[in-house]
Amino acid sequence: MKRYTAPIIFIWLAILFAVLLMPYTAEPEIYAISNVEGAGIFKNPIALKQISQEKTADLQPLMQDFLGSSGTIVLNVRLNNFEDAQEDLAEYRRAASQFDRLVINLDMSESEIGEFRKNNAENIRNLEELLNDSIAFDELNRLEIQYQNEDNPEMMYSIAYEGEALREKITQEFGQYQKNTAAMAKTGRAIEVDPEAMESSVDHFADHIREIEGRQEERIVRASDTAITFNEELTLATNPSGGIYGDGIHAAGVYSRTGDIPTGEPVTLYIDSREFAVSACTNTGEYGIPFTIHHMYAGTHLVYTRAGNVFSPIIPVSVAGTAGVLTLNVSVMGSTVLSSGRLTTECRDVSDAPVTIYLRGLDNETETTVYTDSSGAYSYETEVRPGDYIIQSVFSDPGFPVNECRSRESVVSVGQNDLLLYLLLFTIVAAGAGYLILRRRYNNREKEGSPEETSEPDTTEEHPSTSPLPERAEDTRGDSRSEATAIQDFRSRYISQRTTLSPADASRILGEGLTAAIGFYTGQKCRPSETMREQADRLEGRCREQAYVFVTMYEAMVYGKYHQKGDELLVAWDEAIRCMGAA
Amino acid sequence: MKQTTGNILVVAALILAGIVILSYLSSTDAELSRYNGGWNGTSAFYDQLDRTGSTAITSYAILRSAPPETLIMVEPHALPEEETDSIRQFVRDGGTLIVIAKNESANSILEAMGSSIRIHESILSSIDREYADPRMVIAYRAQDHRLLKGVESIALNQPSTLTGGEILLQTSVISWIDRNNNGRADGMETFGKETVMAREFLESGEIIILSDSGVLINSMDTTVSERDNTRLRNNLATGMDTAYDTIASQPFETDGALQAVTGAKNTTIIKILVLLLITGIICAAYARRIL
Repeated sequence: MKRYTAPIIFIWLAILFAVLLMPYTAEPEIYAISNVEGAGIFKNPIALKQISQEKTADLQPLMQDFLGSSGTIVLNVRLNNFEDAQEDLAEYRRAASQFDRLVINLDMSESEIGEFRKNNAENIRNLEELLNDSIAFDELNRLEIQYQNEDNPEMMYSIAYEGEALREKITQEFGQYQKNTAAMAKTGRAIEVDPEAMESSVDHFADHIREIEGRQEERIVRASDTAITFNEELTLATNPSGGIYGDGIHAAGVYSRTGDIPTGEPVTLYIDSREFAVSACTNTGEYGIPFTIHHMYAGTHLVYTRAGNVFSPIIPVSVAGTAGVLTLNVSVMGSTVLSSGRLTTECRDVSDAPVTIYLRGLDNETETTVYTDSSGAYSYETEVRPGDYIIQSVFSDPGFPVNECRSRESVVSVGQNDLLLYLLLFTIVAAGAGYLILRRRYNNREKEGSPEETSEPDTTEEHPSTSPLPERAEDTRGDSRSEATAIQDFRSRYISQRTTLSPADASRILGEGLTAAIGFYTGQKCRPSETMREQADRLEGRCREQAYVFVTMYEAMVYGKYHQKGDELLVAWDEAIRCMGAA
Repeated sequence: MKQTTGNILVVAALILAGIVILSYLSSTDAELSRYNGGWNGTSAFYDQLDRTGSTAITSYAILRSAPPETLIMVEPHALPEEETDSIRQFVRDGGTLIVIAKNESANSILEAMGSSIRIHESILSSIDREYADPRMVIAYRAQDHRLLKGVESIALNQPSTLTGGEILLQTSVISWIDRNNNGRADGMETFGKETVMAREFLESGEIIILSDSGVLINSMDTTVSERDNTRLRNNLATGMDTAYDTIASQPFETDGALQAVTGAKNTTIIKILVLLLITGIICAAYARRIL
């Protein structure tokens, strides 16, 4: 059986290694056709991922929708169908969001389609402003009729003024719309999208402005009929006259109405026809309202103030767009991806700004919008399935005077959550190893305290000059005991068979026992050709002398006619064996 | 008995070793090579041509004496005037010349034919792509042609662009020439359709250019399962009376041992000598009771 032990172990090891290697055969380290992406001019399609990507079919309809939607919204605004225009605008925003995602995922932000996307975002903002301002202008018509009926000339004056501010603003928006439309139409033609509907919307917009101008002129005439003139009792100046994100602007003026001016008379600042801040004037009529450029689109904004029914002149404030810087740090903890970063422009933190985080996996993609805090920081964490992900954050909001910017792409790999499995395996291995160590220690202690081993001192006492068998390695004690037993078997066989066998044959039993004892004691196997005396020569000192005593008697009994006296052969054998420590 | 068995084993081992050595010497890893059975060779395409009865043109004189209907040239290099005259005459007499090449060096053949079509070695890229590489562009059929029967779209592998002629295959509108070779459309790079296959009538004949020899490599055959590449290759191979050029076409350029082996394979007297030698060895082995 022993002869098969080693081969069996090797076979099992081979099987084990084969099983361990099997998973790697799919991806050999040396060479596989699927590992060679390309050589020379061509790329190897076997090694590349087949994606069959045909995005023209997605892009063109979306772009066509944008170009068509603009025209419909402007037409509805012109016809005062504000609800329809709002619904169309909401649909437009949804489509724009889908388009944004497509452009980002296809890495086209820097292309002319990326430019189209930016113009489209501007266009949406334009249309929103147009819609809101047109609704406000229409509301003024209603109020005008009301005040006319009430014969309230002061409010008629206010309405005329508000109307003038809105007219100016809508005219400005038209300029921007015209510019965006031309750029979008050009890209549209390049992508084979028909821009005619959008181009005709510019004409509708122009007609709308002409109608507004006509109505406003009539309104001013009606307000003039009330004999209230547009005298500038309330002055306004801004310092500076414009700026970039984060700049502070001070709007100040004097309320110079004749008579007593009550201290604390409220003065309201309007930016783009919307109430922005309220302050109070001093008893000399002076007032000051500071404001910071924050959520204000890049371009010209119209500013005026109002104290009661008195309006300041409408003055422009120009806001310049600046480049944004968006950082992104990504870390992975288990299956959680943590994304964070900061949005700044000109080293100023941009607060309350929307940042969209795109997370693209192999088979899925998600986007989430978070907002920056007061220090411009944003963060987002999400659970994902194992796999590789590309993460990028994008800031794009034309409502801020900060240009669109993107973070660098960050690639992360989320692995399987194997922690529990690893812990389990580690526990099993550690427990197994611990058990084996403890068991060995226990066995050793048991051997040290066993009765077989306690017989050693006796031997040593009797034969102090000889080295006992247990001086060999400690781990051979088990073998030592079994060998001693085997040698004692020869003695037993001799005693039981000496009456039945001839003296020579009985002597041979003891001879074999001595041979075995010498072999075990010296660790050298005795050759069959060796005589008993030659075997005894392997021993040294007293043991050899004891062995000679036995061998001399043995030879005389086996080869001669010598008859032992009593048990003198057995006594000699015992002495020799005891000397070797095998007794 | 034991000795005979041993001899048989030795001879079998020698024959096997000979086959292995011959196979090794007959193959190459050169791109587009007809003798390259790897992913970037064209062995499968030319095997298909051979199977469908196409003729290998080893002398342009045959274009005058027994002209085929169609001649295919792949990445041809410039030829002496005398030889281009033969090809030009073949086209003018009603033959169809198909040039599949992405390198501008093939323009010399087009010029010699009097064609207005030109190849431009540009980095043609597209959002519409078959593989995760912007230069593995998808091209769409622009008009019907017998070569495009059953072909709606094909996947290209690093194509060039064409100008001139009538468009047969073109890319989608979101394609661009990647001048800065960064894999994305940016800067002054504009989108637009690009021609990759065009044709032109020259007197009674026709010349057809496909600006991507990558469609012929072995790995672009059945691998491109979503496109009609296989159909296009079938149409090229199964045309009426087709011949393929082995003189100026890059797939037949050989050197060293390969040149010697292919030269021997293509020379009838050497073929006969090799057959006689093998027969002699077998006879000798039989006579000496080795076999």
